[in-house]
Amino acid sequence: MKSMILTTLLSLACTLPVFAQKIVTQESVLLQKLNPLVLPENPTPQQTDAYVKEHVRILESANNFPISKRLAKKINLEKRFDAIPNRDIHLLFEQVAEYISVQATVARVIEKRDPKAYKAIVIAGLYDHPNNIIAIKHHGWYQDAKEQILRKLEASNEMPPLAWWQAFTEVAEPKHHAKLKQLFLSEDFFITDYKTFLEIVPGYDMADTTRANVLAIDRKIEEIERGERFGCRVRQRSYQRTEMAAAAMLGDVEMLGRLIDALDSLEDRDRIWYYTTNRIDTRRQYVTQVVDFKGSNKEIREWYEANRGKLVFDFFTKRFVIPEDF
Amino acid sequence: MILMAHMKTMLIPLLFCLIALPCDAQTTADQAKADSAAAIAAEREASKDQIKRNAEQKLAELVLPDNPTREQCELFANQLRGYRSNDVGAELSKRATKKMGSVPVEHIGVLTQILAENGATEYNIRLALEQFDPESYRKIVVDGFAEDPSLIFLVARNGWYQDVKEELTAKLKSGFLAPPRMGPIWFQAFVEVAEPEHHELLHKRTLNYNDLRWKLYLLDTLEGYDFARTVNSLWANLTPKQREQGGYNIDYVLQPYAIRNGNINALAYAVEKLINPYGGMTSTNYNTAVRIIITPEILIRRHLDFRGTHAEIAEWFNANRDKLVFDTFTQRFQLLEDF
Repeated sequence: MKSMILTTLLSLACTLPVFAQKIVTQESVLLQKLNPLVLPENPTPQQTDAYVKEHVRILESANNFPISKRLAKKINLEKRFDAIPNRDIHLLFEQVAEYISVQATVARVIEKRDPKAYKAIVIAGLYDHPNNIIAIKHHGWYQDAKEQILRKLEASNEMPPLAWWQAFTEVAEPKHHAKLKQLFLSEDFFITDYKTFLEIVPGYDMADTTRANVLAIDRKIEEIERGERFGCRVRQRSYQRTEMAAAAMLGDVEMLGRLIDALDSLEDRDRIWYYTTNRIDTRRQYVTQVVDFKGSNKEIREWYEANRGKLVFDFFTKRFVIPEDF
Repeated sequence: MILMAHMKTMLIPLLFCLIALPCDAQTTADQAKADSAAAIAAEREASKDQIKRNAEQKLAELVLPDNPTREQCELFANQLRGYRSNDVGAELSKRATKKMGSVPVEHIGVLTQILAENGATEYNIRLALEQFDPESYRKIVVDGFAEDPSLIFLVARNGWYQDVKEELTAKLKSGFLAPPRMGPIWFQAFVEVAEPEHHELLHKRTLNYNDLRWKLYLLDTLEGYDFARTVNSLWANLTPKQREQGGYNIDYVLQPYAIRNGNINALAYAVEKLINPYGGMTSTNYNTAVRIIITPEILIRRHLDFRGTHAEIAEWFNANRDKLVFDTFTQRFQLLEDF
C-alpha cells in the first residue's frame, strides 16, 4: 500500500517539470522576438521599411487573426508603430489596407496623429503609394489631391479598387467622362457600388452608359454560351435585368419592351421567382413603376405591342404615357 | 533499499505501459479505422443503391385514382414532394415532378398550400406548377382566392391582381396578417390594387419595421401616395438608441429615402457619420469588397451642392442648417438665398 502511494506521488512529481515548461504566455514569446527590433534615430526609409515588415512577419506567424486590444497593449504594439516618422506613413496605410492582424492597431496609430502634419506627404506620394487613398477618403481631401488623382485616372486601364473609383468620380471633369465609361464597361462583374458612385457625377450621361452596359452583358452571355468566357449566365441575366430597369427609369422604350417580354419568361432564375418567398416580384415592379396601365402580365404585353410606337417618357412623373394627340 | 526495490518493480511496468501501450493501441486503432472506413463506405454505397431502388419502386406504385378528392390529392402531393434531387438523384426527382402535374387542375390549391407552409425549399412543387397552363386555372384561382390565400402565388405569377381586387381590398381593410416569409408578396398585391382611400391603411402597415426595404421600394413609386409623410414619420419615431446603433434598416434603407424626401434630420445624421464613421479608418478600408453600401459621402454628394473636405462639409452644414431649403425637383438642399 505504502509503495503504491509513493509511486503515484513520484510519477506525479516527474510530470511537474513538463507542465512548468509548457506554461509560456503568448506575449512573452512575442516580446522575446520583438524586443531586439529597435528603430535608430533618424532612420532611413529602408530601415523603417524593414522595421515594419519584420513586426508584421512576427505577428502574423504568431496569430492569423486580428490581434486583440488586450494583447496589443501587453506587447506595447502601438508604441512600436508610433516610432515611425510621418515621412514613411505610406508603410502604415499599406497595413491598414489589408485585413491582417495589425490593421486595427495601425489605424489607431494613424488616427492619433495630426492630419495636418501628414497631409502634404500623403498627397505628394499618392501616385506611387496607392494605399494612401485611405487618408484621402477618410478626410475627404479629394479637391486637394485632384492633380494626382487625375494623373492616375489617365494612366489606368482597368477598374480600380472602390476607393480609387470614388476618388475618380469626385474630381472628374466633363472631358474625363469617356474614360470613366470605358473603365466602367471594362468591369466583368456588375458591382452596385461602382454604379452608385457613377450616378452622382454631375452632368454624366447615365442613360447612355446603362444602355451600353445592357448590350455589353448581352455579348457576355453569348460568349458564355459559346464557352469562350468563364462566368455565370444566370447571374449576368439578373444583373442585366436591374440595368434594364434603370434604363427604363431613364426613358428607354426598347428596354421597357425587353422587361415586359421577360415578365413570364421561363428561363433560368426567372422561372422560379415566385417561389422565393420573403421578397417581392421585382420583374413586375420594374414594369409597373414606369407604366400606368393596370392588368395581368399578358394584358400588359398586349398593351405594349399595340402602343409601342406611341409611348413617350414623361421626365416629370418618370412614367411612360401615350400623348393625347394620338 | 526497500524503496529502491519497490521503485524498480513499479517503474518498469509503468514505463512499459507508458511507452508500449500507446504504440500497440495506435497500430490496432489504425487498422480498425481503415477497416471500418472501407466497411462504412461500402455500406453507404449499398444503402444508397438500396434507397434509390426502393424510391423508384415506390414512385412507380404511386398512382392517383380517377376523380380524386382533395384529401387524396394532398396525400399524393405530400408523398411526391420527398423526391428531391439531393436525396434520390436528378432523374428520379424529375419524374416525380412530372407526376405531380397529374393532380387535377381544380385541386391546384393543394400544391400552393404546401408551398405556403414550407417556404422556398419546395423546389419540385415550383417546377410542377409550371406544367399547368395559366388560362386553365385562371377561373379556379380567382374563384377560390377568398377561401385559399395561398393562391396568391399564382395570382402574382400571372399578374392577376385586378381580378381579385375585391378580396384583396377586403383583406387590407380587415387587417389581414400575412403568414411568415410572405409579407412582401402580400404587400405588393395590396399596393397593386390600392385606391387613394386605402393609402392610410398602407401607411399604417409600413410603420412597423417588418420587410421595410420592400415596403418602401413599392410605395416610393405608387402614384398619388404621400411617401414623404411615411418616411418622415418613420424617421421621427426612431428612438435615440436606434439612432445611435444604426444598422441596415436605418442606414441603408430608411435614411436614403428620408433625405430624398427632404428630411434635414436624416441629412444631419449622414453628416455626423461622415466625420465619425463606424470603425474609424478601418471602415474606409480601400479594398471594400462587393457590398451594397450607401455611404454618407454618396448621400451628401447627391443632395448637397457644397464641396470640400469632410471637416469643411460638417462645419458648413452646421452653420447653414437653418437656411437650407429642399428643392423637390432637383432633390437637393439649397440655401434660401440661391432661390
